[in-house]
Amino acid sequence: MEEKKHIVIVEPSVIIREGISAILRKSDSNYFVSYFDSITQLQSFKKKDKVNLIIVNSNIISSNFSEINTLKESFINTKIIGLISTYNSRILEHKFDDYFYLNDKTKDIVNTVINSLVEDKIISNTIYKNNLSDRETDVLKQLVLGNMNKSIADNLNISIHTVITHRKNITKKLGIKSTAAMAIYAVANNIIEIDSSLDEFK
Amino acid sequence: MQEKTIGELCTEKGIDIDLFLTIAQLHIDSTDSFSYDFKIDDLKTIVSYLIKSHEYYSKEILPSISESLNHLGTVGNDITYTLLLNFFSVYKEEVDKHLKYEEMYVYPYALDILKDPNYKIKEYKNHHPDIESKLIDLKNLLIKYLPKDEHQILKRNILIQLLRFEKDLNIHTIIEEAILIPLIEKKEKQ
Repeated sequence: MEEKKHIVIVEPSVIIREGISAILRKSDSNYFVSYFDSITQLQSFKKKDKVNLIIVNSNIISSNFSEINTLKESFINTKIIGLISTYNSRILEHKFDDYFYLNDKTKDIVNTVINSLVEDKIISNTIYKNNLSDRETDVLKQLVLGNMNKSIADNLNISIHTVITHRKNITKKLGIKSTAAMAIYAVANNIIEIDSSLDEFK
Repeated sequence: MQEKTIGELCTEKGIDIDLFLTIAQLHIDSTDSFSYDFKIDDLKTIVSYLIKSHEYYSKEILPSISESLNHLGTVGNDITYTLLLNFFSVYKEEVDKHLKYEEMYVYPYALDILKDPNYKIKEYKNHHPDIESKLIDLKNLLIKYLPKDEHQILKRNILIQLLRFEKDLNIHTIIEEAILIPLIEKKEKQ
């Protein structure tokens, strides 16, 4: 039998951590979930090498970057997922290997966790990135031409939900969040050519 | 200034030396746990520091990055560079707007100059806009996705300017979120 995956949730709120835990255990019985109230508490945990994944509420690190940096140092081989719970803490997204939002759907949360567990940390940081799939490239083109999620979904014959997932992956792979910067990427990499449809970016 | 100590300079300028050192320390280690106990009276000094750094951003840093990008656009002869300059101009406007908002509402409110009974710091706390993410986009474009050509030195210099600005902006955000806002909240409770 496959060894259980140990997922650590750093979250003081009982409601939230029990919630995440329930979602995860429902999706796969092979998860072993444990809780910590704070990063400090997790740091004193002895069996660090047995942890496969860490989920941290972005709220508890607030603007204290040194705490999240030390955490990364103590868990070099473990991915850290951020739970982004407030509008404000969106600036912290890039501090984590991946993230999900408090109001994300079950499927998104589960996917984020599965992806993080599957990908080897080093591989995902190098080879995996900057290698858009054909479908992601299609979505990128549509985005750059100024289409909204709804029309992209219609144009490509996929669901809005899929569009959003693609967008999230594009951002993750390229390290680029704004559509305007994606446009520059697309031009620099010959994904789109400059013509009249791009006038607004000039 | 010459041979004066930090202590002497602080006394001259009427700045609490421990407060000065705490803020200066942020440039070495950006933490938000402080050994110094911030007082409501410190608001004046803190706000004046924040205003000065706004001036530094809008009069020095941002224009000099614009200038470098402009130069790259001129010598680079690639549409990508023109797009990059435009991207930055839009970003610069956003930053300016953000700074102006703070100067018009948040800072005067902190100093009791703005007397609007309906204004509460919570509004700012909940909508402190993210001006760092586009900077990260720009950085990644420069590092990874721009054409490789003979202008690598120019690009590297722009990258260094961006990195310095990013670091300063991070510290600025810490001061606002971990010092300014809690102090104003403390004051509101009085």
